[in-house]
Amino acid sequence: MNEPLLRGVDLRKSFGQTPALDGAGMGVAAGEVVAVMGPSGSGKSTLLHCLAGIVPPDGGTVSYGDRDLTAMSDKERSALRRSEFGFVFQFGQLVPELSCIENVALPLRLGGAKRKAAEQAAREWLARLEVDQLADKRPGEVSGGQGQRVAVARALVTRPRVVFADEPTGALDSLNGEQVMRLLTATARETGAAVVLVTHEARVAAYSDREVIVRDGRTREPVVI
Amino acid sequence: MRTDLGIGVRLAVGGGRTAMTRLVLGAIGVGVAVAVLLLAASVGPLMQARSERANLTTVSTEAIAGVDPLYEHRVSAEHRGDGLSLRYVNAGGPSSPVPPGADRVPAPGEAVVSPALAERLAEPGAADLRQRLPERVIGTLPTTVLTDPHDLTAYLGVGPEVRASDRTTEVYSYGGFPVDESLDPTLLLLVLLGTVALLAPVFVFTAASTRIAGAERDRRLSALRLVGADSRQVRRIATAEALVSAVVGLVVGAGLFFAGRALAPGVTISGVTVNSADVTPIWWLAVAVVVLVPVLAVLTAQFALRRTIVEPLGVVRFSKPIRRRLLWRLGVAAAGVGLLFWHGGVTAGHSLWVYSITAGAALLLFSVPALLPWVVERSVSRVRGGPTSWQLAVRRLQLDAGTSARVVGGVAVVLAGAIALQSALYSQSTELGGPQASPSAQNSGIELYPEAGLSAEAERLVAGVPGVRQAFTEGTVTFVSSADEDTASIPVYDCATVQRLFAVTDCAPGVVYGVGDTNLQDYRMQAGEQWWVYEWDHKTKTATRGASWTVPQVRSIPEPAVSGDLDSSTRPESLFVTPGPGFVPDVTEGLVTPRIRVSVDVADQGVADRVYAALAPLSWQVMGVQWGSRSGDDRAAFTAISRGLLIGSVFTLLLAGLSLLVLALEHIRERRRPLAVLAASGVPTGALGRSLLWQIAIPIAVGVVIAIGAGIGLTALVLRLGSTPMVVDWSSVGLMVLAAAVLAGLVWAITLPFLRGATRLTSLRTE
Amino acid sequence: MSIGHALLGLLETGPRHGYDLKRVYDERFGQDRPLAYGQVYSTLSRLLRNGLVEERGVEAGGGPDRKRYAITDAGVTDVSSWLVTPEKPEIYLQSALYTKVVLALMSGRDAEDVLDAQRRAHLGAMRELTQRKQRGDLADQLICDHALFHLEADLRWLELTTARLADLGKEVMP
Ligand SMILES: Nc1ncnc2c1ncn2[C@@H]1O[C@H](COP(=O)(O)OP(=O)(O)O)[C@@H](O)[C@H]1O
Ligand SMILES: [Mg+2]
Repeated sequence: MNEPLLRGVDLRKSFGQTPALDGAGMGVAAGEVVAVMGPSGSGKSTLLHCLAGIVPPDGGTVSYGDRDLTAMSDKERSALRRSEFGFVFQFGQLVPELSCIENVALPLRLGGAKRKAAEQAAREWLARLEVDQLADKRPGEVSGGQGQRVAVARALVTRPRVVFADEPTGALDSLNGEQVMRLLTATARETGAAVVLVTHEARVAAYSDREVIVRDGRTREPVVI
Repeated sequence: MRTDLGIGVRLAVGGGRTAMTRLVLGAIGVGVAVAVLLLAASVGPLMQARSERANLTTVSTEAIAGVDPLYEHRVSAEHRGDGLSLRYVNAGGPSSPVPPGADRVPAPGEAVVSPALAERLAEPGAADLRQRLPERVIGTLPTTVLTDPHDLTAYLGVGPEVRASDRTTEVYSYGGFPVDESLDPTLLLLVLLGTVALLAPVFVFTAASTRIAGAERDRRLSALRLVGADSRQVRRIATAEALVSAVVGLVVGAGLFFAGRALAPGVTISGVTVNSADVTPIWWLAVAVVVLVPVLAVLTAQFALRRTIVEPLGVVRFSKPIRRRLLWRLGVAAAGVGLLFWHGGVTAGHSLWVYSITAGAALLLFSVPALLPWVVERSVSRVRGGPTSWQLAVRRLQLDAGTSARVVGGVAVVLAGAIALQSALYSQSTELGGPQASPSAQNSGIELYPEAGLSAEAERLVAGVPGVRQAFTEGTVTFVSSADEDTASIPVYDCATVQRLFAVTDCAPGVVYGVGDTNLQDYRMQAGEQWWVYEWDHKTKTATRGASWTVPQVRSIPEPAVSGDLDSSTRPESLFVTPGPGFVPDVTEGLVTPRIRVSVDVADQGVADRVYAALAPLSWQVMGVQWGSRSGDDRAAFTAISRGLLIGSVFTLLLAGLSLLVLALEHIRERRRPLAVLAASGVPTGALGRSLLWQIAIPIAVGVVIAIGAGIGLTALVLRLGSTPMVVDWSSVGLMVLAAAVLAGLVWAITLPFLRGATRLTSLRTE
Repeated sequence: MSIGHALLGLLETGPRHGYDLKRVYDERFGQDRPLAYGQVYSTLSRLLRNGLVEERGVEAGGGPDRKRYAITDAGVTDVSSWLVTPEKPEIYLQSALYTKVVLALMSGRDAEDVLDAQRRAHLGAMRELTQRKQRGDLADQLICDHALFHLEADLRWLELTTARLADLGKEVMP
């Protein structure tokens, strides 16, 4: 097994009195899909947020390659997220007034790309996720599964090294969920991206290479062989 | 049906904090509108009450059998720049009329004063005034006999010597002689324009207030519609919801109105103060306001429902709206322009003329908010490129231009009205003594009118006062031509004055002097012609021919050296005659009306009061007028009107800003998740913030452009009728644009923390 | 599953040789276990005995595998009634897993380890099925999904039991 690309060690995070994370840790190697599983409220999302540098943990370290995320400023972390990470959430992540293609092009454009080039790339990604016919529709006009595929396209369009997906199929039925998972993992493997996949559904987790169980804010990672 | 209304009320009041905010803002908007409308409905009675009170002190000099006259000698003067109205009275007998508000005619040495004057007299710093009015105060006039509660008025008792004065009138009764004042058409236009410009935004704002947070309301109603409410039910629910905020607004408005009414005596607008009791709306107008405002609110709500009824799903799912139609919007503007051109086909003053002008102006102003949504929609619909923040804003506007445009419509109509009114005022300001009028000294000369035989003493009293530069007595002699056709009044200076003021050493009596080549042409007199002195008897009010006069040659004299820095009001005339035997016995005597021209230091504000104080020994026997104070009044009126307009506009702008703010906040809340996800993906908050700024600024910019067009167009059309050339007051237009820009900036700045809150990553939590 | 009914169903599309039947069966249904020839012939002879199929001539060359079989009317009726008769939902009241957990708790061992090990095994199986599903055609997908959903049900039970271990512990070891 490769050296982990992203690794969190002994992460702790409390919201007021409630400890959401209480010494959780995990790693993910390039090209690897790791499922983070556990019951609702166990701290999966918090773990993902810490790993992605969205939320600074109260304790522990997160390292990405040879960089220490926990030592970075908010600005640096933002820049890192923008350039190296991609995100897919359960719902409501697409900007309702932008068309699907504009939504997918958004991260590129915010990174300074020209509109033409950005939309060209966005169109290719929409095609890879089999939703290119939706390019000019608004998120309100597409189905949940289609919208989620657009969201996956948006997460992958910047060719991130790590994709964070928090319950990406949570709002979808089985068939749509399977499709989204298939496309997400397939494209991520193709591009060699690492995927941190938070889910409480076993069938979704079955798309991963490996799982990490979170229970009461602690991870129960099987012994790495 | 009852349940539908119940649901509506429930939605209006029971929706938690946001619903409360919406209700409060809507109610404030409607409330302000109601208060303004009630105030407007009170203007008529207010003016009437004022003129009725002014009528109380008009006098009748017609002899009434069995009534002894009251001898009244009115002297107007000033103290600290405020007008003093002094009435020296002497009872002709026991049945003399008593001045209104006084218990009895004050005896010599006694005074009845207005409350404001009593207060002024009691001030420690008013020793000079007490010196001028040493009379013992025996009573106070009730404010009900004063035009203005702040009037400085007094009835002062004097001895029978006052009866001899030319300026004394014999009063047989007080009151009951209304002065008819009809407005001149140009002024009437201004008033009409002003009324429309101030009230149109009120209506627009009432409409906009009930639409605060409209997008959210639409979605809620659409959701109800999707659940199965039929269109009638949705209409009823919306009606109830609109009614709640309108009714709360009515209560707020009534409260504001009564609060403002209680404050009325404390507020002075261009020297006019208002009695609380006078601010009473005409009852049927008040009823109309109470009925119309909720009706307007409900109608707006119904009107805005069209889309919800037709395509509820589109509203819920943020799909692209139906296109707006242009035709009826243009129709409103065209009708306005048409009416202003046609103006009833009649000339000024006709009531049809008044109605058509008013309606035209109103329609033109209403076309602004009607056109705005269309223009905003059109101007953003083609926009493609631009930075991401711009794209986000434009897309948002493409999706829902209506809500922003409706809110901005309120701003735009305020701006249009204010620009129109400011420009109209500005164009008229030459007459009104506004900034366009010729610059005049801050403090101009004083003219004194002493009783006969007292000019020498008055001149002597004044001469030594600090700040007085020069004082001289000027008489006037009036000649009448041989055919009794022409009269000419020529100033009279005695030789001592001539020698003092002009470089004339050999002054002779009976000579006409002219500075430079000034001649008698201006008086239509020819040397050698025969004219007669015109004698006017004040007592009998009859004119007679006096001594005859053969017009002599004008003797030319050089320009006086000192006149340069004296203002024109107290500069000696450049053509005058010296008194001489036969026709002008003495400047200070009978035939001429002497006045003393006093030049003062223009920078010295206290000089007028010192002059009056110096004249205290003469009491009623001298009256003073400070030149320029009259035009100063006009200027004050102009400034007051402009300032009032500005305050009104700024206030309405603020309210519009509030609704913009609500709109922006609503927008942020709607987008909480996408915004949080974007922030999680590392998008800097700055880009999101900028998109918010664009989203506020674009409709405002469009609104400002339309408002400037409509405002200037309206002024041009209205002034065309009054044949006054139009001058656009670009500085106030600039000010309005600036205000709008500041407003946009302000709203944006306030929304930023909320944006930061929304992008805080806790918004990512799913559960 | 009843192999007899499956063979009858296949014969409904037309007469086939025994060898043919085995091939088609393996293709469609034999994901895990291909049929043994012996099983095919024993089943066919049972069906023949019951009058559900009949022999339709023998091809040149002879031998049992050269016989052609066709479905009889009785056979068609039998298939129809089989298809509309619902399968009995299988209920595993005596789950081995439950037994293991209780025994672990009673013997003071870490029951959570037992459950986690099982969970890993289940998830591993699911992962394998998912991969196979992604490679296979629609039929593969449906069959894999069936298994996946069953495994998922087990997993859910594992999760629930894990969450309730404390309570369970109190009950079995009062
Ligand atoms: N922003 C927050 N504020 C307060 N409590 C939070 C916040 N985020 C998470 N929590 C708490 O932390 C715990 C773990 O939450 P989370 O990581 O979202 O769980 P999961 O994603 O596994 O369902 C929960 O008890 C949750 O209530
Ligand atoms: Mg979660």
